[in-house]
Amino acid sequence: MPGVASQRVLTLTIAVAIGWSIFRSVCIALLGMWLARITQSALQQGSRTLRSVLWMMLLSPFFTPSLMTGFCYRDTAMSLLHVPVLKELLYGLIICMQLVPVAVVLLVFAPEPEVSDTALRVARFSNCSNSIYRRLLLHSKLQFDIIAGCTLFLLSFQEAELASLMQAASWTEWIFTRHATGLSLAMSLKLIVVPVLVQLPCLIAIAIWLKANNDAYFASQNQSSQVNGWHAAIVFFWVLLAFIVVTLVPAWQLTLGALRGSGGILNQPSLPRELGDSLLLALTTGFLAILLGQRVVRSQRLSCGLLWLLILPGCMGNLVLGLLFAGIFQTDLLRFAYDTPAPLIFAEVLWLLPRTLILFRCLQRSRSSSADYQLELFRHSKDPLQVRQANELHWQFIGRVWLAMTCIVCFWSYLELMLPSILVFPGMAPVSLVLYNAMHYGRISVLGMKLLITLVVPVILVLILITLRKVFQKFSMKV
Amino acid sequence: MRQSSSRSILIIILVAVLFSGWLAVSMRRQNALVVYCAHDLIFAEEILLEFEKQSGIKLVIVGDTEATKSLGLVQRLIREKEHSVCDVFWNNQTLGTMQLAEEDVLQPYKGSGYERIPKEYKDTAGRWVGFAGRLRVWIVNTDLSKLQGDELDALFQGNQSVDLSRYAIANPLYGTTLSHMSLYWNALGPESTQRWYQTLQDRGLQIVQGNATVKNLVAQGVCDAGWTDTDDYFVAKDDGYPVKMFPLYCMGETVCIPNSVAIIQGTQRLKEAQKLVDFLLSKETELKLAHSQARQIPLGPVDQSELPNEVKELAIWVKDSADITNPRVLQSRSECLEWLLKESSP
Repeated sequence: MPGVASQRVLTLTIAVAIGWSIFRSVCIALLGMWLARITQSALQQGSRTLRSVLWMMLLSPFFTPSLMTGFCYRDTAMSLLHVPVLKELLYGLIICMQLVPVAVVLLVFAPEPEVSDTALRVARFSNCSNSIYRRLLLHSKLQFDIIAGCTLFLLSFQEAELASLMQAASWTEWIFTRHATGLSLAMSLKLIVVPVLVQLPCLIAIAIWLKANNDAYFASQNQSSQVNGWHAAIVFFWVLLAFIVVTLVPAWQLTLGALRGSGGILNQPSLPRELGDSLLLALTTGFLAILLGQRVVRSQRLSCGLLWLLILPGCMGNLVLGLLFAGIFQTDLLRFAYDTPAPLIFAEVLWLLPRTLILFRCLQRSRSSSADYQLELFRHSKDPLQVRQANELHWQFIGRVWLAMTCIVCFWSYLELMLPSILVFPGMAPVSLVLYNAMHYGRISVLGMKLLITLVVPVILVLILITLRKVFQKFSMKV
Repeated sequence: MRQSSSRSILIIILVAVLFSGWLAVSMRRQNALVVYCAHDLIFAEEILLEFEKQSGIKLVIVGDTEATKSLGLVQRLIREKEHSVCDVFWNNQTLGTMQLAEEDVLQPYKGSGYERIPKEYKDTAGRWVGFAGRLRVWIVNTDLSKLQGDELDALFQGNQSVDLSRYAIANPLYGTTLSHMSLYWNALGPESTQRWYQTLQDRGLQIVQGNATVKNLVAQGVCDAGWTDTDDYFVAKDDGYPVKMFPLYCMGETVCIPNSVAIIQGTQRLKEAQKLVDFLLSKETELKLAHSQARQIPLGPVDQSELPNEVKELAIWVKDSADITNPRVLQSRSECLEWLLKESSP
């Protein structure tokens, strides 16, 4: 009986929720790793325009906010009440589509492996022992597949927002709901021990990868593997499907929703304040995360222990981090700061840090130190024309990348909702949290318009910033 | 040189902007009354903003999610008992507030609002007062089901073989469904209620996140009928869905769930808190809630001619409602909640 099946999913225990989350995450990691590997190869083929379009379509699902996807698929998930398997499949598919781009980026920006494919083949045909072969294997490009797989597993396992909106079976949804309904903090913390242990092997692998200060070449410049026709077709189909399902359809639904509820937006007097709260939090935590990330990247003497301390909390996911911080700031030592912005700011910075470090690592890979040095020399030239041109080049090659990175980090913070829902203090109401509550409730017709404004405001701000820079540039040229 | 100085200026401006932003956020709490509000903010905000305008008292409103509505804030108030942040609690039901009174979280106050509300909806010690109720009802999709209220009642109570997978109720762990279950627990006793609830589950009854989800499922035709509150029903009706409602009966009585308001023990802004409580319990607020999309039923005396027709009809059903403020129901709620939590524990 389908109803009974759905009932079992709804009343699942934490053990079943963890088990199911592991199963789903392993499936996503395996499928995602394979898709990422063939997509990475496909991205090197074709014309520059085709590759740019492919990149744009590939990355869009990752940057499509869960709130937007949830707004679109909440009702679809609800209509699948009688066939819970399909609901789980839809949720898993959306998550996989959102996360595959991360794995592709990791593979594309991975350094050249210490052991090449040829060396590996030679080792296989020679009489080297199994242990040596295994060691060689771990230093081949397989290590990047493992890192990509670990990242996919972690991100999928930690996912909480969409699981909650689509009411999918997940340990994050289980613990968050119980915590909100009165489970003591001590009990909630006890319950997160198992999920943390599940994530630990993947965390260790990623920490080692982040720590490795490898100055190898930018991989995509050196790889020339050809993609067979089938793989190219699969990649094209997958990227197109992901773009349609995760970005295009939700964007269309959002536009329709915004048109339907546009009249009521004037009855939302608190919207500007909520947007202001989100922007303030995003800018503060975004800049702090970038500053901290820059320190970590530049500091060669940073001990492994300290690095672990900095990146481990963020790698455990926003739910675990939120509960940990709620616990820490309710101890006698830190209770004075519980009712302040401090817990939320610290937690968001730590949550953003691993992501920021990955962005830094990608940035490092795409930069040439000799070109940077030459540019720096020109910028200090005595010829004003040379300085101006060097500054423009600096903006084109470095400034824009930094701006993009800052925007990405701040955007993540802007739309984060699990940490504010656990740690926000009375008087502050970030718009993501307000939208999530309203979406969970599914009541207000103005929701679509409110969500659209929320997503458009940061874009407008960035455009204003770029325009201001251009005006400033023209002004300084005249001077 | 010029570049590094302009960069420094930019950083100084940014830090100054962020600092003043945080300062402004922190200042919001200064001299403000903190209100924890389990009632839907979409309706409550308008009333509270009106109070701000009339009284000049600044408010900081803390809401809650639909699924955990009221229970989340009740638990939070118990957790914060020693270091209270909240001044006034506006709950969307009464049993949770009664639990807070038992836990010694609430401060008594008998003002003009207290005097206005009939005794069956308030605490004799003045620790909390009920106002503006809503009813538990069946919501039925008229395109899918022609069953009447008594037939629906019989379906849930009687025939053990009928599949209920096209019927939905909200998770009884929270909100008004918990209050509803507590009434059953009180009337039938623990064993019968547990057996009845388990039978419903065995027959495939859909247990979903909240009353609004039940409303959505029925309105969109995923389910034929379900239990919800009148305010949710009216949202579906206003949106043009083919829905109808019938009052839900528990042992022959309807189930009316009033809002409740209480002052938190240890508040530093007692006078302002008292003003807000009197404002919420006033005739004007009850009428405003009756005219809102939620169509809440005034519990204190109001001029009947000022009420919308739909609320007048609901007010007739309220006369036959069960006594939800009975301390025995509160005891039943604790036992029922304990059992439900154990049922879904690790």
